[in-house]
Order: sequence, then structure tokens, then C-alpha cells
Amino acid sequence: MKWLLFAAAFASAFLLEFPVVLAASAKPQICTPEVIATCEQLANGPIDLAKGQPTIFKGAKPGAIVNTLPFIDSFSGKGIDKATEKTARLSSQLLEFTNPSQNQIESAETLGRTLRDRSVALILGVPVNSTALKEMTTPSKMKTMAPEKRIAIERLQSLNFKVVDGRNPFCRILMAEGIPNAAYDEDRHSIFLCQGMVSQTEAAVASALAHEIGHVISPAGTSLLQYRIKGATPDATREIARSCGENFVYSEQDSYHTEESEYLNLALEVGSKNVLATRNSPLLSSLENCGVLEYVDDSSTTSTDVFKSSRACVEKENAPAYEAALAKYTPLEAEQKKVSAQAARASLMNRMPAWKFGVTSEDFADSFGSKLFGTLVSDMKWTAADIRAALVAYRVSSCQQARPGDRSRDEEAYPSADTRIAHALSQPSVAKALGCEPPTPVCDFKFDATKPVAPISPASTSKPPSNSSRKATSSGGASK
Amino acid sequence: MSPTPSSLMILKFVLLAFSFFIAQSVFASDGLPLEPKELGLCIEIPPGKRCFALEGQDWIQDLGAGFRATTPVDVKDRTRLETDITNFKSWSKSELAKRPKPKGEHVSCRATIAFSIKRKTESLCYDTLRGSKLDAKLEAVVKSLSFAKPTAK
Repeated sequence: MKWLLFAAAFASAFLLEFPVVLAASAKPQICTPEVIATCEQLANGPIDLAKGQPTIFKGAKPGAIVNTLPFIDSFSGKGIDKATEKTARLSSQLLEFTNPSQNQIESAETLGRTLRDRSVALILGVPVNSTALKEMTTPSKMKTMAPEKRIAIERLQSLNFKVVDGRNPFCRILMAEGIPNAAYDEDRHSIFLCQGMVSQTEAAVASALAHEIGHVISPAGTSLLQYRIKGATPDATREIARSCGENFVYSEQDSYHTEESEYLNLALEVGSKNVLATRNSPLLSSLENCGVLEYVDDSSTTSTDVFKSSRACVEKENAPAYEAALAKYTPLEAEQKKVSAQAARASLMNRMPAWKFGVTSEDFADSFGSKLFGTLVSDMKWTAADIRAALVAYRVSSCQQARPGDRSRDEEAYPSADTRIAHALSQPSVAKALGCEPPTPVCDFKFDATKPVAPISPASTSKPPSNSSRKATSSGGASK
Repeated sequence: MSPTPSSLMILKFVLLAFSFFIAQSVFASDGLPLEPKELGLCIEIPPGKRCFALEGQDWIQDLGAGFRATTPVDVKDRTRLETDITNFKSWSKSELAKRPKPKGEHVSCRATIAFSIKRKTESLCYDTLRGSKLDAKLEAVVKSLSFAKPTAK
């Protein structure tokens, strides 16, 4: 009898608990690229990613999120019949979208500045807009900060954002007018957004901006020297430049103008107040000698401690790609320079160290960019629709890359699309919005500068001349 | 400077659109050497880079943002592409020769264009770009090489 009672009790308990067991097993699954869209969905043309409209900038034209896989297919000679009609229909939408309103342009530039401030907070580990953040970034506190941390923050604080139109060769010639893209231009220390990019959803623009900010604080960005443009206004700066004589000859009519004048004009046009340069840049030295630029002391570091763990992770992740590129280009280098394979390899490694190598560099930017994007997702209350819209372009290429024999990726420059998606999905706020569990991060971004490292000044190579020597140099006429 | 939205241009825009906001790298001008191709052209105007190359029977267009487009080309297409690249190279060299020689030893390349013709490569350094005839010429060449001519199958 006891046994019967026990069996009945056990069975009852089991049956009662069973729904709980079922519920437990139904917990959200780990996020995979399919949560953005399936390849089948994408292959069938535009889809309603959201069953609702994602957030758009104030003043933006409402419209659907378009995916391009059918059109890329038609471009490649696959599936053309299916895509032709949709291509024609959507092309008109796209062209309409690539002409952003003034509101959209201002919103995008404001979003850039918001992300810039968030990056500083992220690096310092304090909430954005907090008193602690204000206190930690006062000039006196900055002076006592470890150089590598200070330089990363200074880079962010002086960063410029600019929406550029088809007059900019980057958007017109390199990207084709209207195509959404963004870039960090280290020369002008500015993040450029092409007009087509600004016409995207707010979350999509934020995702692109966050990645570009990753380039700004990457070891490649922080190893550059920083110069401040003198002159309170662009006109005042041009006035200083004119005193330099023929170095600043500039004519729209002529097919020739000096590189100094072109460089400076472009910087002033986009509103940049700072420019960056590699060490030993004769162009920048020339501008400094003319009194147009002012070198910012202790403005660079190549410290390996700045993002030690993050850098180590992406370099390890991409070691095979790096080795493959070295193996591929060493014979070419050896042939061109008439040197041994060993010397050629050393030369390549010197010019393109692993931390500057395309895949690694992009992976690093993805790593930081995703983390930054993740901090914004919850605060902006973006929906699953917004997230999908922001990531759908990655997903389009991920579906492309999954096909046998696909060559849609430059394997020496970019990580696979799935890796890029994984960076984003591993952010808890992103996963939560999509209703799934974040996967283990590919490389979690960490700022782990703990010990001060001496910054690099041009003195170790070719320090720009001081004010007094500058006058003497420039009085001798043009110098390069 | 907006191109007339001819059907081909519209198609080109749509094909590539929305895929390219994946961010653009900071390209190092002193990076890895260009691999010699049977036919190719690589334009680098920091911070961007755009390449075209013939690989087997395919014309590859690399917009440097992590995406490439592949278009099968026939003999007629290949001839036209080779002619366009060769002509642009000749024109560029003659234009560069007309320019005043820069002072000093170092010249910063505002644009670098690498030509690959019959597996021989040559890079030309342009110390200026904006407002120049090169700018317009370059745009015309890019339009010519980025043709979106789907091959019906």
C-alpha cells in the first residue's frame, strides 16, 4: 500500500511538474543569424522584417526595409527572372531614399556625437551623462590619466561627424552615389556618412557609426599623431595659410593645386578641427611649419596594453587569415623588391602588422562597435524590427557567403558576415530585443589599460619644429 | 554630378544598395602589394578603395566594404573592359606628365590607382584629385567598369 501511495504521489508530482519541465525546455534559444531573417525570406524579395515600421529619423520618408539579395543575385546572373520586376519597383524607392532631408542629416550627426560621448563613458566604465563622467574628463583629471586611456578619449572628444554628398569622391566614385556607407577618415579625423547611409533607419545608422568609432580608438587610430587646426574659423585658418605663399595655391579652374591647399580645404570643408597623421608625414610637417597646424603634445601611443585582451583575441581569431596573406604576398614582394623571401616577409610584417591587418582591424572595430551599439539598444528602446533592420545587410552577405563557391567577401580585409553578426548578437540588449539568448562573444571588447605607458612623440623620429624654428623654416619658402 | 537614372544605373544602385553600410575600413596606403591580375583596376582614395578585376570568366567588382559582385563576361565585354582600362592608363600618364613637378622628394598620394593589364601591374600616384579633369575622367571609367549587365540564364 505504501508503495502504491508512493507511486501515485510520484506520478502526480511528475505530471504536475511536467509543464514546468516543458516551460524550462522552451526557454529562448541561442541567437543565430536566422533571427534576423532566413536566407529563404531574403531570396524572395523585400520582406516585412518587423511586422511594423522600425524607428526612422524625424523628417524621414517612411518606407519599407529592402533587402538586396535578389538583386545581388541578378547582378551575378542568378535568379534574374525572379528579381527583375522587384528590382524595377524598388529602385525608385532607393533613389528616393538617398536624398535625405536636413532633419535626417542633423539627426545622423547628432547620433554620432551621442555615440562618441557613450564611447568615452564606456572606456571609463561610468554611466553616460553622469557626474562621475564629467569629473573624470576635466582637463586636470585627464592630465593624470594613463596616457593610453587619455589618448583614446582625446581621439573621441575631437572626433568630427559629417554627412557628405556626391561631391565627395568617397561617396561618388568609390561607393557609387546613393549607396549607404560610412567611413572613418583619419586624415581629417572625421567619420563620413554618405547620403544613402543617412536615409537608413536610426538603428542602422547607429550600428555603422559605432563600428567606425571602433576604428578611431583602435591601435591604428591611437598610434597616429594629432594636430589641431589653428584659426578660430575656416576663413581665419585660410588667412594663415595664405601667408605661406605658393604652398597654398588653389584654383577650382585649374587642374592643379598644391596638396597642402587641397588637404587643408577638405579638412575645413567638413568642419574638422583636428587632423591625424602617421609619424614622419611631410605633408603635415609642411602644414605645421606654415603655422596652419599645431602639434598636440603626447598625442599618440601604440601601447599594447590599451586594448590588450581585445587585440589578442582578434589577432588570435584571425591568425590563419594573416598568415595566408603573408604567404600569398611574400613571393610578390620578394620579386618586386629583389630580396629574399625572409626579407620580403619581414618587410610585409613591418608595413602591415597583425593589429593593422584588414580582418583584424575590422574585427576589432566590430568588437567595440557592437558593445557600443548594445549600450544604445536598451536606452533607445529599439524594437526587434529596428535591430533586424540594422543587421539585415550583414545577413544578406551571410546568406551569400553560405553558398558554395561564393566570392562575395574580401577575405583579406573583412571577417565573415556570420562573425560580424555574432558580435552584435552577443550583446545582451540586442539578444533581449530579438527574444533569444546571447551567444558567447567572438571577442569581448575590454579596455584594460592598467599601467601608464609612455606616449610616443615625434621627437623619437622627426619632431615637428618648435614655434621659433618654424618661422625660420617657413621664411625660407616652401618646404616639404 | 548625379548620373541619369538609366535602367542600368538604377539596377546597379539597387544591386549594391543596403549591403554596404557595413562599415568601411581605414585603408593603409602602404598595405599589401597588389596581386597581378590578367586585367584589373584598383582605385584608392583614402578612406576608400574600390577594385575591379577579371577572374577567369568573371568580372569582380570589389567595393572595399566587404562585398564583391561577380558578373560573368563574354569576349566582347572583356575587350571593352581592357580597352577602357588601357585608355585610362594612357590618359592618366599623359596628364600626370603635364603637371608641375612637385617640390621635394616626398609626394603624398591623394589617390593611388593601380592598373593590372596582362598580369603586369603599375601604380600611379595622383597628388591631387579634387576639381581636376582626373576626377571627371575617373568617374566615367568607374561607371564603365561597374556595368551591371546581368547575363540571363
